Amino acid sequence: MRKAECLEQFVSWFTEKKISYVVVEQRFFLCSEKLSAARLDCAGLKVCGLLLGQMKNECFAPSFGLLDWLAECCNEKMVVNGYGEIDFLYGKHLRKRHVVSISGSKSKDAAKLVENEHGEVLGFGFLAAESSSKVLLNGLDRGILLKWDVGKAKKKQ
Amino acid sequence: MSRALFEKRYEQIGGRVVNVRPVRCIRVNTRRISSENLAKRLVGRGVKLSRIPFVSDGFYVRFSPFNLVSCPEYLLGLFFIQDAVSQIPAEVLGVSGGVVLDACAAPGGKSMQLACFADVVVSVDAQPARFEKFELNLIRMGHRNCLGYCCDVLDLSGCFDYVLVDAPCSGNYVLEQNWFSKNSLKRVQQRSEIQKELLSHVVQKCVKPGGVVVYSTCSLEPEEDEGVLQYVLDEVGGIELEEMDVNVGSPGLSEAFGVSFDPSLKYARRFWPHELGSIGFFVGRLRKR
Repeated sequence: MRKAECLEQFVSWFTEKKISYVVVEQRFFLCSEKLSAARLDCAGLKVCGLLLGQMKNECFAPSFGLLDWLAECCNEKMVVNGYGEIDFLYGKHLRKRHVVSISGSKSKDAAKLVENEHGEVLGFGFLAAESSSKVLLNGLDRGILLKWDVGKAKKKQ
Repeated sequence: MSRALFEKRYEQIGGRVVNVRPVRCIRVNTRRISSENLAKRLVGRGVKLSRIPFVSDGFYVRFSPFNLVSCPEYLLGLFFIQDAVSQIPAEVLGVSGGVVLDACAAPGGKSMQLACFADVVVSVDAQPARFEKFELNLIRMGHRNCLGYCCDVLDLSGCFDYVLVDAPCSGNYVLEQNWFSKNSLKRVQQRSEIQKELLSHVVQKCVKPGGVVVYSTCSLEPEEDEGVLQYVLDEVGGIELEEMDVNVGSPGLSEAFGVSFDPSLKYARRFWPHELGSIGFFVGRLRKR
């Protein structure tokens, strides 16, 4: 599975559009004049709007906020049906029967945003080889939010 | 002993202790989907919903064939699981644009609600573990207009159009098992002192003249509710209680345990579990002169 070295590289997999961001505690947030103006003169700032991602083990780990932003400006998408939606959110790879449409590049390893039929972003992945029984390899899906929740709960116990 | 003590207190102020199991409720993220469309999708998955009559975008979940937090609509941030009466404070704040301070924000239900109507929400919470929960919820809900500070609200000042103080409180017996044995009048009094300091600070340092402050707790104790508002009216001044467009609950108390409150405290609302079948709650709306 491909890993991006930085935010800009990850964005370039989907679009040529440039993204402006601010860095707060080594995390990237979408630049917003409104939010900059509202910032307080005190310590403890942790969140500055839409989280785009952060660096983890020298790789860029995207956030769902970035995928939502990309969905507004790129054409690299795969739309899946209801079965595909559930399977993908369970961390599975996508197969032909799941796919409603694919737009943008068709080459192997091309990055695709995965959307349901309502146009909502479920995550992203990479196109598999034509010879494979899978169409798209799961890169990140929103099901992880559930795992994070459970993880936190377990940590507390 | 403690249960009997609280039961006696509640009897004196028009309440009583009943066994209540609140119905699970959700609130729609109207930045992402309309209430009608979300209802259609959840009903399509076999969920039975009915509108909460006293809030604008909330539903009672009468039945769900699966755990709601595992469905795609939840993971996509289309709704937040939030008790019915907990949806009232952000609603009565009456936000329409502007900059809002949520002074005790974690885990973030009310901040997420405010983010649907405000230009910017500044969410503050002092406890790092609770703040993490807020961050996770914000990632899921996808709001772009929130600033989050993990700090003590007493350390900050500003000129906000609206402020929500959902103050840390002793809770109530519906929320927590063994609530009666965990609580005492001393603990209630300690909480009350913290709440007075918090609300006084916010009124003096964080809201602009003409701005609105909503104070809420999930406590049923007058010392943490009417008593705190009375303290701010007396000791801080320059602020008045306003009537709220809420057609459920009971008016705030005019007197409790020999202490009289300002007549304007009738504009606050208390939500007794025995009346609404919900958790206990209290809300008051203030405007700075």
